[in-house]
Formats: sequence, C-alpha cells, structure tokens
Amino acid sequence: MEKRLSQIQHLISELKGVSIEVPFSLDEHMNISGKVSVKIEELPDALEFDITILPEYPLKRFTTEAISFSNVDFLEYGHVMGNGNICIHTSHHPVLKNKIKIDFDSLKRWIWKYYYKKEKDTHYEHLIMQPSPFKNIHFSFLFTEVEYTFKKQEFGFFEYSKINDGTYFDKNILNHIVQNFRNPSNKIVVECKWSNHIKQVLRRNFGLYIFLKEPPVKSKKFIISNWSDLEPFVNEEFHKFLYDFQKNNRKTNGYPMPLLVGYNIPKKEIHWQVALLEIGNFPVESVKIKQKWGGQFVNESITWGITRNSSYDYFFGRGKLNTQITESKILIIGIGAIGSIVAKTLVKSGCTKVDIVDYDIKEPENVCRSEYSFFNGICNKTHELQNELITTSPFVDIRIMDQNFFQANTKFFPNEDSIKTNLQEKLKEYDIVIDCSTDNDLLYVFNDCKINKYINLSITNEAKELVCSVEPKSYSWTMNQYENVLDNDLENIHNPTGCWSPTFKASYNDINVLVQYAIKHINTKMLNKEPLRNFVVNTNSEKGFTIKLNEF
Amino acid sequence: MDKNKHLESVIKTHQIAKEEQLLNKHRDKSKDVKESLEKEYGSNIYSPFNSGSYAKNTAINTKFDFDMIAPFKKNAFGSNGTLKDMYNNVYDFLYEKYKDEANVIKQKVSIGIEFFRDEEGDIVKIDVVPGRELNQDKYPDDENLNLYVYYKYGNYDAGSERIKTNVKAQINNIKDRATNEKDSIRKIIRLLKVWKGTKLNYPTKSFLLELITIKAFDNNDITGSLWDKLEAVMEYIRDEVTKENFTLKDPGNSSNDLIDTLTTSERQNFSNDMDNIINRIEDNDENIKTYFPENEKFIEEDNDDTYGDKGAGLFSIPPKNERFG
Amino acid sequence: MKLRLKDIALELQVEERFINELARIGKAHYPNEYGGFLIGYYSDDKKILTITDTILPKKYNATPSLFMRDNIGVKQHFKNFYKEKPKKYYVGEWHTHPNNKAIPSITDIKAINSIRNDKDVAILNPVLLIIGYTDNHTEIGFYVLIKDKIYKYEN
Repeated sequence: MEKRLSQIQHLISELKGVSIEVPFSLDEHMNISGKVSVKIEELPDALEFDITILPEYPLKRFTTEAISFSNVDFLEYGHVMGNGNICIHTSHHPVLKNKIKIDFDSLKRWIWKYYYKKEKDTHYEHLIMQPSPFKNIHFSFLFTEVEYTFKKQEFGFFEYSKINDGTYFDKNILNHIVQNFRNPSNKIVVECKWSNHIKQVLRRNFGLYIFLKEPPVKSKKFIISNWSDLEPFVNEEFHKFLYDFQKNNRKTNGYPMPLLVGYNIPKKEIHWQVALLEIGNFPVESVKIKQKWGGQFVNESITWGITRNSSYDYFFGRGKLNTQITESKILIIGIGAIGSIVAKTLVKSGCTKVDIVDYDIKEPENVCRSEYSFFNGICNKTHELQNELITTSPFVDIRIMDQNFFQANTKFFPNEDSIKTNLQEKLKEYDIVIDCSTDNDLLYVFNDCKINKYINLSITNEAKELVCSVEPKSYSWTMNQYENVLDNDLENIHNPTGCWSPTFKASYNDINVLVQYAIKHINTKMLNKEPLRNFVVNTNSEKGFTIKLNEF
Repeated sequence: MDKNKHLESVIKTHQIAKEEQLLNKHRDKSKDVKESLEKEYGSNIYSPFNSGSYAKNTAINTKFDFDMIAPFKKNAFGSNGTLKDMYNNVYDFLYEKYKDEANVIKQKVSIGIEFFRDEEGDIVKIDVVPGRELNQDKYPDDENLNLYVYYKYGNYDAGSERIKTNVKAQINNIKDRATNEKDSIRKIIRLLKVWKGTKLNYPTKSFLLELITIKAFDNNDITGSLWDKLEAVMEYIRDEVTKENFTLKDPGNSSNDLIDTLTTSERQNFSNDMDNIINRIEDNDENIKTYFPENEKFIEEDNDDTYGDKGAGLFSIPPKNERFG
Repeated sequence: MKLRLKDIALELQVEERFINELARIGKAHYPNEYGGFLIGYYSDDKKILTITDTILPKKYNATPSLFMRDNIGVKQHFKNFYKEKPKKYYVGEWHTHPNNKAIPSITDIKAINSIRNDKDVAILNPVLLIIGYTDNHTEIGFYVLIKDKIYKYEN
C-alpha cells in the first residue's frame, strides 16, 4: 500500500500544471488523500482541490469514479455537487498511470469550461437536498404536473393516497401519490393527472401545501435546512392556517403531517418538496408584533422527505412507442400468452387507453408464459390483467369489455347485416383492435367489418412463426398462411388434460421474442409513416437462433 | 399449385359479364345521370360520356369504375366563371338531385354518387368528372378539357391546380391496347386491379396501373406464360417507379405526368409492394392466392361440370324408406 | 327429349314415350300420389344422363298428398340392371302430384338430400321427376341436386 501511495504521489507530481500542496496520506480505509493545485494557461492563478482516491482506483466503486476532486468554494459553478465534488465526466482506463492522466485532463476541462468560461448547464438540476427519515421512516410523495397556475403564497390542503410500503436502504419507506390540491375551504382546486383507476380506487389522506413561487434556497443550489429560513417566503395568513389546523386536529396529535412546498423551475414547471411535520408539534411559535399576535417559524431543522415529479413525460422519459400508438384507443381481444404480453408491452410503452376482453379463467399453468402471477391463484384473466396493468402505469385506463359481446354479436347469425352493424358500431370507438384470440370464427366475421385498424396476431406451434395480419381480408390471408404456406405441425401440440384444451407449445421466451419483434416492426413502420403490410416472422434454430421478417 | 391456372381463374371469376345484373344497374344509373346533366345544363354541356374501366375494356367485376365525363362549355358558368364554380355547381346540382337515394361526395377530381344499397344488396357508384373546354366552342375539335382538383393528390395541389387533358384520347389509347393485346396487356391490367382491390385505399389510380402496364410492355420484351408476364410487369414497376426521371405521359395531354399523382413515398411503397409480392410468391406459390384472389362468388368447382359420384362406383341401393309430398 | 340446366353444362335425355308411360301408371292411383325408382346411366364424360327404366316399389303407402315407398323386395332388380350393357343404375326417383303442379315440396327436397347423403347411394346428383296433373292437364318437372341446391332442367 505504501508503494501505491508513493506511486500515485509520483505520477501526480509529474503532471503538467499540477503541484502537490498537501502530500498524500493513507487512512484506515485504505483511502489516499491530499491536496493539489491545478493551473490552466488562461487563468493567472492555480486552483486548489482536495483529492480522495479510493482503493478501487483506477476502477470504479459501483458506478461512481473512485477519485474525487473537491472544493466547496466552487459550489456556484456548474457541475459541482453539494459536497463540493466536481463532476469531471471522465472515461475508463484500467492502468493507473493512464487513468490519472485522463482524470486530471478532465479536471482541467472542467476548470476551463465551468470556472473560466462560466458555462451554465443546459439542463435544470434540482435543489441539493438529502432526504431524512421522520421518526425513523422515510416518506415519499409522487406527483404530476397540473393544469393550474398557483399564485405566490397560495396554500391549502392536498389529498394523497398510500401505495405500497418498501425498504429504502436500511430503513422503511411509506410511498404516497398526490391526488389533488384543495383550497383552505377544502374545495378541489386541481387534480393530478393520474388515470381514472388511481383517481377512483385509492383511499385518501390530507396534507398541507404552500406554493412559494421562488425556490426555498440558500447558496444558490441548496434547499434551506432550518424552519426559520422559510419565514421570508410566507405570510401571516399561512401562519394562521397552520395554527387553526393544529388547533382543530388535536385528536391526531403525534401523527405525521406532510407539507408540500412548491416553486417554479424552468419550462414553467412546478416542483414540490415535502417537509414532514408532527401534529401537535408544528415548528411555529406565537409572537407579538406591533400589538398583534402572529406566528413565526422556530429555529429547528427541517425534515425533508422524498418527492418525484412522475408526470407522463418523466414516467415514459426513457422510451415509449410512437404517439400514433400511445394516443390510440386500443382493444385487445384474447389475453392469453400473446395478448397479455401485447397488453403489458403497450402499457409499459406509454399507452393510456387499453380495453381487454376474454372469457377465460387463468389457471396456474398459464403463468409460465404470460403476464400473470401465481399468487393471484385461479381467477378471470381480465380482472387479473387489469390489476397488473393499472399497477404498472399510473396513466392507463383499462376497461373490461363484456365477455359475451363477441359471442352474441358475431357467432349468432353471422351473416345478418344488423349484427354486423352492431359489431362495427361498437368497434368504431377503437383506433386499433388487436386480435390475439386465435379464434378463426372471429377472424372470419371481422374479415369484412370496417374497423379503423385491425391487427391479428397468432403463433404457429413451437413458436416457429408469428403471423400478423394488418390489412383487409385478414381471414383469407391468415387462413392461407396456416393451411397452405406454413408448415404448422399440429401433431405435436400440448394436450395437458385430454383433447379439450389443446394449445401450442412454446415458452415465455419463445413467444415474447416474436411478439416484441412484431411490435417493434409495427412501431417502426408507423414512425416512418409507411403503410402497414401483413407479415410473418420466421425463426430458424439451426445455427443459433435467427429471426427473419417477411412482409407481404 | 399451378400459378397460371390460378391466374386464369382469377381473370375468369372477375369477368364483368358474370355480374350482368349489377352491370345493367350501373348502365341504367349512368344513363339517368347523363340525362339529368343534359336536362339541367342544356346547351351549356356537350354530351357526357363514360370514361371508366368499363369504357376502356379493363374493368373487373368487383369494382366497376363507372366514370362519367361531363364536358362543359367555356362560358357555362358565366364568362368569368372559374373551374371551382363549375365543380361546386355540378356538386350542388347532383346533391339536390340524388340526396334521397345516394351519398353524394366531393372527391379528388370527381363527384361520387354512391347509391344506397338496393333490395338485392347491390351498390351502384357513378363518378362524375366535370371538365370545361379550353376555349369557347373548341371542344368538338380538340376534345381538350380542364379539370378541377378538389383536394390534393400526389403532387397536385388542391384548388390551385387545373389538369388539362383529352379524356377521349385517354380512353381510346387504353381501349385499343387492351383490346388488341387482350392476352397480355388486358389480363395484366385486370390482375393488377384485382391486387389493388385487396388493399385499403391504395393511392395508385386504376388509370396509372393501365398506363404503367402498357409502358412495361412497350419497354420490355414481355413474353411467356401469364405468370411470366405478370412477374415481368411487376419487376418493371419495382425497378422503375422510384427512379427520379420516370414518367407516365397522359395520352390525353403529354405535358401531364400521371406519376405526379403519387408522392415520393407512395412511389417507394408501390415499388416495395411489388418486391414483396414477387419474393413471397417465390418463397411459396400458395401466396399467389391472397395477392390475386379469385372472386369467390364465381368460382366453379370441378364437379359442377359433370355428374358426380362418391368415388366407389355407380351401383346404388336406394335408401330403405323415403317420403315424398 | 333433351333437357338442360340453365347455368351448368349438364344434360338429361329421356324418351317421351317413357314419361307418358310413367304418367299413365301414376294416374291409375288417383286420387293418391304414386311413384318409383329411376334407372339410367351417365355418358363417359359424365355430362349426359340418360334415363331408361323404372322399378316400381313392392311396398308403399300413399295419400293424395304423400307417397312413402320402401326398398323391400326390389334389390335384385337393381343388380340385374347393373349387369346390362351399358350398365344401368339407380339415378333418382319419380312421383306424382295429383291436382297439383310439378314443383318439389319441402318433403321432396328433404328426401332428395337424404338420398344423396345415404351411405348406400353412390351418386352425388340424384334426379327427381315430378308428374303434376289435373283432369285435362299434365306437366312434368325434372330436378337434380347439385351440392346443396336443387336445379330444374329446361327444354
């Protein structure tokens, strides 16, 4: 270790423009630390940085660099973290000598760009804050943007619902979602933009909010840490509101009470932080100012909880399907293996209006290749999937269509015009109908129905091919593929309990790879504004696994 | 799978004569429309005439394409009347006249009269294309007409553009070729129309399919079986239609280029579709059935042509008891 | 006498004298219906059916609007016809409609379908001859079953 210490000391001392101010030393955690000064040509003076080098160096510790350069005097500059650490955005190298060179070059680049040129970050960075537990438990509140402009110092109640509890590092966490904002007379001001399921289903609690407009900040990027620092942001009316609330809620003394603190951030967005108060023990005191009693915050530190803006654009910020699909109203007919995977994929990819229909019951043996869970036991597929999907995305509304609808409207007197009209009328409300039922009778009836966009998906035995019809006359095309073109081996199908429920053989992996390929293809075509054509996804397992998509 | 036998059956089952009743209904309605136009516009209109596939001998029985050209005099809508005035005036007249028995719709250059389904379940559709002679009283000599473009198609902008053409020359050109080369040009045109019928709102006009087929035959030595010819035409379309300098001259006005009725991406899709058809049929003959489907209504199965037996000789003992009334 | 179908290229040949003979036999049972089996043969290309003979039932029941026949006691006759040159065989049935037209009733249509579907019947297109008559008028109707439809032969 001594050898490593002197090696690092030597390598750094040889770097151009770098001099060692405090020699490097080794602590009990095998960390090496010291102080250097770094000079670039454009600046008259050198800048000083504390350096810490962890034992992993030149490799990373988890996902962070094992070297840090720090100086709290530089907090006002771009790309400096709350503890004064400089974000140097460096690159990987396994050899110590090279890595030291790379990292110091990155540091010099930071000095030039953010210290000398004073560049500001183009993206907004949230206030620096460290959430802390309230009575040893963490609290989180998830919110969305709202269609409402809060006035400065507007305050009132907000309604929230609990979602699942969890563990946050070494402590428990209680998670909540913000439902709506109400004025002091408890009238709803505006609702968060969650799905109807979330708006309707969950139980409610009350919290308090105040909108400051300006961020509650000190040293430009740190959130205030003491209640007395909040005083300049509020007025006497808010103090009266707090006083009255606490007086009227003595029965709940000791309970936690979240206070959302809102402010504007760039792009006209609002961000909310949450401070956790204890009923009966609000950090306020009464004082007499100019002959009148009023409230003011006490000199106590604030317990900040966790908040996240979970609006649609953030929730799906990392990727989604194209808007032509996500903004469509979609019906999925048949939610077995293929249908449930399609449904889950659409919802995970940003769709918000998905209806499902199936008459079938989920059995334990369905779980292995669909989006169902063992723990839900035996139940209607529709109800389990609905539940699965609405807990996946807070923006999706899933309606279950009457399971008898298709039976009644297609198979009785399939040639009668009035029945067909009835069916068409019902399906007109959908932009896309995805039929995963593998029901040839249904396909036949749909053959000359006018449906906005009808997509039929099915898989041949052992998932050798996926057959997808997207054009008119889907019955003729699909039947021709199955009967004349593809070699669908029906001798070797899975008959679990006799011949009454045969099904094709394939695993979750077999099916999912084809379904995802098909959805990706459809999404790509729509994104490129190319017309959709029927297609077959062919697989080949002779030399490893290959997929080929043939368009018709 | 015998591709040629199948294609012959496609053509046979799509023969327009097989839908005699529907054909007659189209003829009757067409006559009715013609007479009402003549009655309404009197001396301001020349004799309306049919210009669709039926007139060109390239029709198929799943889509009749009854187009009626209504040639107006230059001053029919006042000496300052515009093409738009003409189009709207004809629309207003047809709408008032047929609103109780048909949907009257403004289309690209025509006005569609789609009669409501009759007791036998048939739907008759006549497209009226109003056109105006270029100079007063010159139509009988030059047969040239200006058409109004109601909404954008291909590279023609809505309203702003006028199409000048000689419809009679268009018809005669195609009719002559289709009739004289009925085993090649006519059959291929009909097959391509059958294919187009499998698509929803395909942007390629029938007229374009006719011209491009003729051009393919003019530019290549296309011989062999029916499938060979069809494949060669499809290859021609695939290879040529995306080329920047590709043109399809309107036989009615050589300065009109029919390829302009398609956008660049529509041309690319047209080419891709031809490529897909060729490749998929090469993968498996059976795919020909869904690209070029027979008209199921008129498929004649083999045993309709002869008295049949169950394959075990002809000797029978009649059933024991049988009741007649 | 040559008869043809309208849309399908199939023909039926039968001697007028033979028909007259059937009518004579049938009318003898007035006011009740009466009928029997039709014997004939197809041309080599199976386009022409020639009807030559009848076998009359040994056992039957009849009313003015119903005729029920049995095949008891006539099976050997069919075998004998099949030994002739050309081979002759069962091709359909005939019956009378006293005081009525020569149009098949629902019972007739059911019967001809059941005949075609019978496992001992070899042919797919059984023929039905109906002789309708009144005091001063006789008309005949020849019908054939093709797939699920009954077609009438015309002059």
